Amino acid sequence: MNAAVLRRGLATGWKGLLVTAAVVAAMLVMALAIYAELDLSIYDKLPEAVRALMGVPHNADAAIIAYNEMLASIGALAFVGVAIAIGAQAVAGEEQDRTLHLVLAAPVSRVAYLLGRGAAMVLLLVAGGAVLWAAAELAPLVVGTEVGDAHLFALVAHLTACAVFHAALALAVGAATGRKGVAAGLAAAVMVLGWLGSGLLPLWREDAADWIPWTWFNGTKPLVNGVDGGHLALLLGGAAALIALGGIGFRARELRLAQSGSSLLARLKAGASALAVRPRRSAARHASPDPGGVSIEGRTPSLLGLRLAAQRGLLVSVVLLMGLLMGMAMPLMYEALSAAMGDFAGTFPQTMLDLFGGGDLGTPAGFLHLESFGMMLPAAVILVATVAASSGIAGEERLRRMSLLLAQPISRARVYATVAAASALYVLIVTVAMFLGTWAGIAMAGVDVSIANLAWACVLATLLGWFFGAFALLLSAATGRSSVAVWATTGLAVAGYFGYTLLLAAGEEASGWWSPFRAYLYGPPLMRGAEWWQPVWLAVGTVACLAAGLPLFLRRDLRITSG
Amino acid sequence: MNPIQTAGLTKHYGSFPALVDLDLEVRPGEIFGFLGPNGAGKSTTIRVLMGELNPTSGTATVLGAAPREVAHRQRLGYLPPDLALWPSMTGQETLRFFAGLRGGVDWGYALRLAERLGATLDKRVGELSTGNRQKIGLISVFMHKPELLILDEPNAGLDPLVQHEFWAMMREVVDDGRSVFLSSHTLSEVERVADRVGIIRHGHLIAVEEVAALRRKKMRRVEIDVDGSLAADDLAGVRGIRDLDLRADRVELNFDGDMAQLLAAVTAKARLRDIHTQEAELEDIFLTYYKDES
Repeated sequence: MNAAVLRRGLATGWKGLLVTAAVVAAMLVMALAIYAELDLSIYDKLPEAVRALMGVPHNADAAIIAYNEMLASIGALAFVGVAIAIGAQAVAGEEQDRTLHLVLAAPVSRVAYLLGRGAAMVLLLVAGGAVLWAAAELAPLVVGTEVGDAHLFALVAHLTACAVFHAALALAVGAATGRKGVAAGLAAAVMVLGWLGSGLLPLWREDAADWIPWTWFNGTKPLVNGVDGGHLALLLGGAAALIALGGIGFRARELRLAQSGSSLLARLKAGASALAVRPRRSAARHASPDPGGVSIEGRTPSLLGLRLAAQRGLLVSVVLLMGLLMGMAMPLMYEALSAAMGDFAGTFPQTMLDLFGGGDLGTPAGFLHLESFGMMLPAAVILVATVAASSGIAGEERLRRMSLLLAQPISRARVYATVAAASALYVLIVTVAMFLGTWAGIAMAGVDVSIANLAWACVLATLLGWFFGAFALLLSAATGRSSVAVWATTGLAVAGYFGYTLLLAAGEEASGWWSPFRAYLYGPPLMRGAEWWQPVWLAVGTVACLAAGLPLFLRRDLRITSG
Repeated sequence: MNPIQTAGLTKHYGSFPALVDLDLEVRPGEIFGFLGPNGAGKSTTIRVLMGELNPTSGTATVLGAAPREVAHRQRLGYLPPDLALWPSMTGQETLRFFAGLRGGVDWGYALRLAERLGATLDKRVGELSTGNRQKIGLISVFMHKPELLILDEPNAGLDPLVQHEFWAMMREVVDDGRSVFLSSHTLSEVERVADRVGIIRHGHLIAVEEVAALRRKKMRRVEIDVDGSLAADDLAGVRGIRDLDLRADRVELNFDGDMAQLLAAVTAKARLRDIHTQEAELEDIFLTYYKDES
């Protein structure tokens, strides 16, 4: 292991991880405070065994279930998600940035590099886990909640091990393939599917989810039962095995060239065929013929086409996930689980459901809302919209391509409009896929869900995605910084979602007027359709963001950046 | 032991032959210029030498070691094309990072190099211009006094003054008995600093010459002003004419044949008004070579 590589690894990921850990910790304190105010008397009346099953430790206040919300569900997804980003960046990201080649030109073996970055990744995750543990210990003191026999350390230890496992998966896939997108996408899919599977499969058969890594994290309810050595060993041993496998692949393979996303072979072939970009038809009509020019064949890429192609891998992944898995499979899953679902729904207090966006687990529409439309679909449309909007302007500046683009007879307003259109189309493709997938799933399962309400839910999801895309575009256009656009949009999404759902749980629904999620979740639309003000709120917000961003982009200097 | 030695080195990307049977040696104490147009195989050669790519067949040694080995990189400096660094690090942090990777770097020497090149070390790399970023890359290559420097298009963005300083630094390296492998398509740079030059095209090494020998090919640039007009057929019988450019009252060509025969052919068809000859640029010699081999 090389100390300089280790230090570099620590310097790369600590900000994002600690910010995430701090945000999750703050949300934990806030959630615990709100839970302490809720009427959770239903839990007090339950037998001890059932309370344990619901995640309430012996002698603890029922409010402690906030820990399951923040540290075993939403907060865990955020923490593990950042861990995956760190893992994917460690080798594949550096390779994509073309900095790995420089490091490996020094007397540093690939194995030493991998171990150095792997060790840095683990240290970062342990530090992040320590922040969460400290928050978990302090929060009850601040709020005055009795934690009883809750095993806070065990929960955070399992969460940290889960993060290490998924980060190691991303690191290993990145090391073996050199593809950051594949590494992050695969690990994220394992995380999301594991989260869903570990929650739903046991409803079908008790041990059906035992093989899923997310089950090794929270399957034995470490908050109630303490550390499960076997599951921890599976997570940490699995992480070690994955890194070893990644190392074997990394040692054997060639480094990728990774320029502009095309392979070296493609570049060589492109160079050999001397392709060039044909002027737009309108421009060509006014141009004088050039008898000495080279005859150019092939398709002419348009600006919109380039923008749409830029994140096609992400788009395809999200469409498949939402259209096929969430859309088509969830109605079928509800049908398979409907008998058990009724009993399960009865034990779930409405306040808990409200925190996931409202709904009713006992009805197919309520189940689909909770599992697919309440949180997953908004996350999907916000993800694609934000990535498209931030990469279209700030991302192009970071890659030093914006000045080249603007040197063509293309106005900034056209670039802005094109990026906005690409972001909007991305969202539309996802929501249409979700509509078609869910429609097919409903038809196949024969469950009772109104297609009109499904259409309303998808329309609102489209508008929600457009709103966040416009917000990201506003920031991207105003600052030229991808990090500002991505993180501020993520912050607004997290604050908007939890701000509204916590108010919903507290019976203060109307106070959430400021949140775009109220306009999306109110009803919920899948159960009750939409009211006129819901699409209007989101449409007006979208137009306002778009209108604000354009003049800021027109007036500012392009950023001076280099890789 | 030659710092770089390859035998039958071949690299295919799928069915595409990027490098074919490359036999190359870079000797101690020389600057070896590696010339060729874009896509000729220069960077592929370097990526194989750096162990980034596995050869399809053939062998290569760098400082006596197989490219994928690690220990010899202590004595190696490498500057990739289109240099990418970490935008959030300052120049000084970047150099300290590289020094940490290698160990044993004389920091005072690194600072002297920075002074010679006029490098900015206290700004974030992401805020530097291409040339100033390239200076950071150059310092990182020279600062540990490697036995072999592999430089791929190193003069990107450097202004003429800095280029001269960079050339001087390369000459100091070879004066010290160390070697430089300089990949470039900037012929003037190679002409100025290299001792030998290898020319690669379509993955084939088509020539290795000493720069002085290339110059001794006696190719001349000839410009003849005439009254009247000449056709290509009028000069068809003259051997040694290349790159013929016929204009009204003027003929331009590269020429390595018998001057008397050329003049006889010209004056047979037109009245000679003026003639101007000079030693051809290395670029012309190179391009001529190139056409012959293609």
